[in-house]
Amino acid sequence: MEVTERTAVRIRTRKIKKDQTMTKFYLFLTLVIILLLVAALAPQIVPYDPYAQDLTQALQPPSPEHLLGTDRYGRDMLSRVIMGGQTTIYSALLLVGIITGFGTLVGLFCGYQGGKIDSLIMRVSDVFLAFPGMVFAIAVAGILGGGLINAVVALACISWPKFARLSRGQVLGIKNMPYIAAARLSGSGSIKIVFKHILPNIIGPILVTSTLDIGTMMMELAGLSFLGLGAMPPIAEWGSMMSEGRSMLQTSPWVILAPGCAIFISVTLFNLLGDTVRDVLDPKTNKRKKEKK
Amino acid sequence: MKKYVGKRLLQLIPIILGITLLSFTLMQSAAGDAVDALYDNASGGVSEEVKAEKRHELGLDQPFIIQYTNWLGGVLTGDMGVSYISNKPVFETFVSKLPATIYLTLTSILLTVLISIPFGVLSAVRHNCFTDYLIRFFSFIGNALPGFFVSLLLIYFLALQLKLFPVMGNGGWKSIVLPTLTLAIAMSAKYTRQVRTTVLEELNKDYVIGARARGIREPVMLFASVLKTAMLTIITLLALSIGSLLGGTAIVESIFMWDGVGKLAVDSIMMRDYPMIQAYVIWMAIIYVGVNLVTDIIYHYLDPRIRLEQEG
Amino acid sequence: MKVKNKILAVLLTTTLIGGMLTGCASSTSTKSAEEKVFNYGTVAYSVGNSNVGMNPHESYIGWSTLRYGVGETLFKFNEKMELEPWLAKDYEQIDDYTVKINLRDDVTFSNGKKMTGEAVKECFDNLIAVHDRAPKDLQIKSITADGQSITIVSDNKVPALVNYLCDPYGCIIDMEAGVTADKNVVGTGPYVAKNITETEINLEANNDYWGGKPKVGKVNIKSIVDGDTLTMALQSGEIDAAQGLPYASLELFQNNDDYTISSTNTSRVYQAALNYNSAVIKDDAVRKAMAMSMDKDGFTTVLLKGNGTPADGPFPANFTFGGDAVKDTAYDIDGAKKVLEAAGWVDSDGDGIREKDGQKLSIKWLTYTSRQELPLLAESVQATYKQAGIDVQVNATDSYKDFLKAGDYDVFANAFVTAPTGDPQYYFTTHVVDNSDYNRGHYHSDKVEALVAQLRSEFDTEKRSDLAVSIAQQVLDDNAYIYASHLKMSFVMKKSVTGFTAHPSDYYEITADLDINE
Repeated sequence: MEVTERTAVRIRTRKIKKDQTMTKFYLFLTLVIILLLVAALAPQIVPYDPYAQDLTQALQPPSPEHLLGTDRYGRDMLSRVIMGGQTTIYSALLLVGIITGFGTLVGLFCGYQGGKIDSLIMRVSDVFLAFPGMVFAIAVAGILGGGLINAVVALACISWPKFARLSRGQVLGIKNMPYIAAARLSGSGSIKIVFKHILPNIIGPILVTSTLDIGTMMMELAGLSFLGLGAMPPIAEWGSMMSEGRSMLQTSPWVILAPGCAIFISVTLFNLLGDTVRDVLDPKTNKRKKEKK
Repeated sequence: MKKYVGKRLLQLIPIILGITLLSFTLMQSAAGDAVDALYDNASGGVSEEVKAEKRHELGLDQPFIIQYTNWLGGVLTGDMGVSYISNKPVFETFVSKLPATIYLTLTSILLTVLISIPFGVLSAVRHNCFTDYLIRFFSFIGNALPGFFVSLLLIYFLALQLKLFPVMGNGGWKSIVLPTLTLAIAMSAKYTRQVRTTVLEELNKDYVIGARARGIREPVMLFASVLKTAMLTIITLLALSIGSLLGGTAIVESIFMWDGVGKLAVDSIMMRDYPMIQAYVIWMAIIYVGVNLVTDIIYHYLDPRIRLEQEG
Repeated sequence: MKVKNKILAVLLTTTLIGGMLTGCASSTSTKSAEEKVFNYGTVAYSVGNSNVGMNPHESYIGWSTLRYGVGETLFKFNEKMELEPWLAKDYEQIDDYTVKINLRDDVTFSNGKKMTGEAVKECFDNLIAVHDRAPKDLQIKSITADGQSITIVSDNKVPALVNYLCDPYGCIIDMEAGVTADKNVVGTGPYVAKNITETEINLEANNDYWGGKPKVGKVNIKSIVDGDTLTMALQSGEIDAAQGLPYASLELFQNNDDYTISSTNTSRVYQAALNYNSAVIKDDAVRKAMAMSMDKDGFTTVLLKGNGTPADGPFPANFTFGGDAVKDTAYDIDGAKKVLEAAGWVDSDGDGIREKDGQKLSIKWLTYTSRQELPLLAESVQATYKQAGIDVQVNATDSYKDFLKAGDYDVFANAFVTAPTGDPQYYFTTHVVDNSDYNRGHYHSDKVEALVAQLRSEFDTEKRSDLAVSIAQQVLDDNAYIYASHLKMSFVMKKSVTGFTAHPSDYYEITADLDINE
């Protein structure tokens, strides 16, 4: 009697939790979309030209005229932060897109094909994984020279194996399931099996990882910018704006705090979204629920 | 067991060869000329003959393969050449700075464990309560601030305003606090969440639900079974984090003037001191691979299920 | 080592507490010289600057020997960068190839040995045998010692020989004592290096210093390359003085009664070399417009926060041949627009950038970031040039040497000490003559070639000065180089520190005058 009541309560709370999760998911998704829209429309919505210097207005504290103050060239910080959002967020998205796409393809191929090529590629990815990431990125960026594109390339070089590993593992997990065998028997080609039957079943964890990676990549890009290996002046980019303003933490804190908060908010948003995506997609909870039913 | 260790050690050989080849190629393809850098960093001009002589002396005028095999031979005998900048043996310099970095890495891991395990467990036990939200909130903050920014804030508040710790210090115990904190904050933020997830998963397993139904007290259950099982995952995660920590120390060491290999690496990259960068990249990679191997073996030893799976 | 330190710490603490318990009679009185410790944070000492150690005969290490008061040179510069005797009393130019230097009689090395002509000869013999730059500068054929004098015979005419001897590599060290494994030497200066690492030098007073007993017993030179760490270490009191603070931080110490600042103009100039190999730059009008569009005042007062002086030519105002001895182009955007229009550069497609014959007026500005001022200059120029209709693509990279080699730049902006020896010849022979080491713009002028040839063999200081002005003016008239600003170097120290002043040569830092009055 008591037990059934408890189960009922648990099922009910789970339902509420599920609703809550969905609400959270839509909330964070909306916020992220707003962020992306702001970044996309940056050139249209900035109050001032983010690149227009006016040395007579240098380092003005926040005021109604310049809501976030001005930097040492007299450029409007608010405009630069908005414009920087475009550079920073879209380069992080580009980067994550590249490594997710490339890594997943490699992983799918290796997992499905197996054999010598698989072990060869996995050894190669071992080599990449064996490098302390930041060190390798610094070395690559140092060789290619500074610049945002090069920083993205450098980080892409070291980050794809993670996705290759992840998707390969997932493929191995379902490759021998009866429905795949059935598809194969029914005459489906390898490409069709991989993309129609395997990919849709492993895309969940990959999506979660890549959403969570957006924040990480933004931070790593900022780290490279700090070392002077990221965005080039005068491009508005949060990481380089922060490192440019860091010596002004005590004298003109707004110069570093504005891009700092921007990074913080966006990384947090992407992380929150990633977390809720995981809650929504989590195969384990879903599976358990199904079993219970 | 022995067979497994042997197999793993064998697998290391191609990886280490790959690492050396990749890093050597990378450094070589950097078009930058170390000899120019050597003579050009302050005022004063040096003739091309002097530079050519120096290039010859350093073997920079030889073909790629010869340079690589020479260098690889050196690596095997512990001779990684001489720094272009300080003219000191690279390997010795690296080894002399390694303890400082290991010290910093260990204190950071220790602090991370001390922060992330209690908070992670607490967060999982108090799942979706205020405590959980608070802990997760802080872990989000720690996750979303770049390391260099955290270190600046820490110096500003803890060293300058509160005068609790020295900005850089003179090697006493106090001088390690701020760099350790900087590294541990970012790591703890990450691992608190990991610990929370792992413990939560464990708590939702049938044996726990069963135990709960049998009326076993929550703390007993938590410490006796849940933590024990969860610990395995956590240790693995921590061991894996050593790699990112070793890389992450680079910026922090530079800011706090911590005289370890991370600072050495950043300085060397700026100076294009190839032998030094190579030594750093390779040794870091080898240490990382080694730590992973040891973790795997321990894991293997501790968890019979995996042992069966892998040997079967 | 660690254990020893701990024991030492415990002992110290016990003595301190003991001292406190037994009354504080001595703590109110001023400290004796032996007790005074000066902690000095600097960005200049590092492996990257090739100056780790104390051996002046290697690379740029002499800068440390001289700066930190371990070694001294035969002559030194005064505030106006004129020669003054130091370890030497005077010199005679016997003929165009021979100079005789008379040494002081009262100088001893820190190990007690007397500095004789023979010792100086041995030191210089070693210098020209092992150093990379000195033999080329000095062109010494032979040195003879006679009591307290030496006679130097040169291979070629070297009018600035005595100036070159003031270069940090000219520090006199005792060759009998030699060089230790950690590159320590025995010099004649007020301090002796006790311990040398890549990040710190520990100095102790040389109490038998020939110029009088130093007032501070111990000096610790700490390498702090990060500007923010340096700033906060000074604020927290961990260091007593700092060199190389970021401009933004200087504000914190200006108008602050707890600190004093010692500043001086140096001959380090921020300059832009215009590359004549580039088709666009070859156009005289473009170069002229570029010179007119650089806002030197704005750059210096706003971006450098007044820590510099707008430059007219390569040399600063404290040189007779520097400052406004030459005339530069005034900042005039409208004028620049007219110059460009007259030459056929017009903006026909309305994107704000001018074109001529289908060629966009876009220039590649190559520079590097290890000097914090250079990226600032690049960004400042980018904005003002744009107003004139010139597009600037900044390439600020620490692998700039690769781009220099590849010739992939229209402008190369760098920082350079134009007169390290107080003499103008060095700058011209390295920057403006054909095939010189740093002639990054591939500049050639027949007139300049002739004038520099004259300068090479002119011994009269006044005539040298006039020649220098003519050369610099010609370079400016051709708009081959644009000189933005001269660096003002500042030392910031606690109020209690005295006798610590910034010198225009950037050579002398720690001297016997250094004192702390608490």
